[in-house]
Amino acid sequence: MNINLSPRRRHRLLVVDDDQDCADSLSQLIAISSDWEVEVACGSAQALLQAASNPPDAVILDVVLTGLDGFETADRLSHATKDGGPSIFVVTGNADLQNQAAHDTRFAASLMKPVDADKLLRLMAKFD
Amino acid sequence: MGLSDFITLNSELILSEFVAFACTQLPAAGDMDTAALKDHAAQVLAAIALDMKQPQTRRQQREKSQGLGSPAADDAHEAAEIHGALRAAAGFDVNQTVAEYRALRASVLRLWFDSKPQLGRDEVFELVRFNEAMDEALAASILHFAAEAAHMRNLFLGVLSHELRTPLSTIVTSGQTLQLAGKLNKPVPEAAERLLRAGKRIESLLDALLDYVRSGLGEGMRISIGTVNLASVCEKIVNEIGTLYPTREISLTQSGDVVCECDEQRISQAVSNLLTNANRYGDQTKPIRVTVFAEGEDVVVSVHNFGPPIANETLETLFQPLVRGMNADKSGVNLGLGLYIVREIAVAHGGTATVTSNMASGTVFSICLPRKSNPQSSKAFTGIRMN
Repeated sequence: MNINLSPRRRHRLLVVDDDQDCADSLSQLIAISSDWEVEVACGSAQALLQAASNPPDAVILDVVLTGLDGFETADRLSHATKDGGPSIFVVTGNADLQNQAAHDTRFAASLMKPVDADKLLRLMAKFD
Repeated sequence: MGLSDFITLNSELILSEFVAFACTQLPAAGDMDTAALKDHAAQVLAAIALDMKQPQTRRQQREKSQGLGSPAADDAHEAAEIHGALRAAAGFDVNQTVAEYRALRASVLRLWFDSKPQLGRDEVFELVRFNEAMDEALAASILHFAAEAAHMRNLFLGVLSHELRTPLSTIVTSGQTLQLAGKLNKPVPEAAERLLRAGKRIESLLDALLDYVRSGLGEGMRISIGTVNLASVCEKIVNEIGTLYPTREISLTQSGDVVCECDEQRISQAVSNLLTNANRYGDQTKPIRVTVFAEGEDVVVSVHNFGPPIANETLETLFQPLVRGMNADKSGVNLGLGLYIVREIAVAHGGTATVTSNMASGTVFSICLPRKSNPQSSKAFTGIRMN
């Protein structure tokens, strides 16, 4: 008989948005409605630092960011880890960028702001 | 002397007269320097003069009327295309863009007639060719003006959607959090605070849009003058922003007599816009400094923040709404209405709005208002000091 006695690690999510309130509100909603461990990064630089020290399983990434934009941030996040990097869900308030990201294979999903939390949670449930 | 030779020999004189007209008649030209105004007019004029010197058959004339020109006519066409696109980007409207051509044509013809030319058959023929070439350049300019204006309209809608959707997202997710937390009997006061801040942001964005549309319709900024202590106004706004962003340190200092005749509500709006920007774009770890001081006959309010300096090319267009440059860097996307409104408020009071920005000393936005009410005086000018 093969029994795994170690408790299952909680999935980690990193929410990246230049707008602190937008990031905090999404992070709080996910924390309250799921078992995920959620962190917030306000901007691309902070996101890369946090992902390096505490690699997330998934990232919710705004596209319009100061410094590196979402696309470049996604590339760096993927290259920073050996296993191909975290799953990245794009959220944006710009319809053109949302459409562009929807056709981009780097992203697991592309959502428009305001974010449909149910849809996002369903996407995240696939990790369990 | 023939008209084409006259244009070539007197181009400086023609352009000076044209610029004098443009500066007095075209409000948007107030933000452009003389060189920018002259630049494409000079190119259009030179290419037209050159084109007039080429022999032209009836067939060529017909082809030109259909937009199939000679190489020199193509040069004029190209200069006019660039002109049209640049004018749209600089905030000219279509009437102002047309008025520039009218001014250019009128300057050429008036100066030429003043030189008392012998009007023979050749001169009349040249006059016809000059008018044809001007019409062609005007048509090319308007075509590109319209294309640029449509591009900017799309950009405006895209950015407006983005600016509204971010606080809207905060409202929706905070609302869902509150709903869920209610069921779980778990207090989440921070969600309510975020919701209120996001609502405030949407409110001020809508106010800004209304002001922008009104001023764009030529109504200008409406102000109602009273005697106001600017230090009290600033204190009120500092407290308001401090409540919305409790972790942010904001200091206020005052020196001299800072009572002035102005519209209290409008000045509050301007200071609030400056403080909101300083909070959003400045270094979060360093305090924002608001200073109110007397300077001769003026009272100045300045808002200072540390953080990455604003690029010189951005400084030039910072007070204009929806400038073309904003799309060059997606990170800088915003409607730019906040600063545009700050400028409109300052100008409506006969004052100025200025900015300086560099790495060492940070960014300072200042509103300078005359102590005695002087609405829309000739001093109305918005400047940029680059360090």
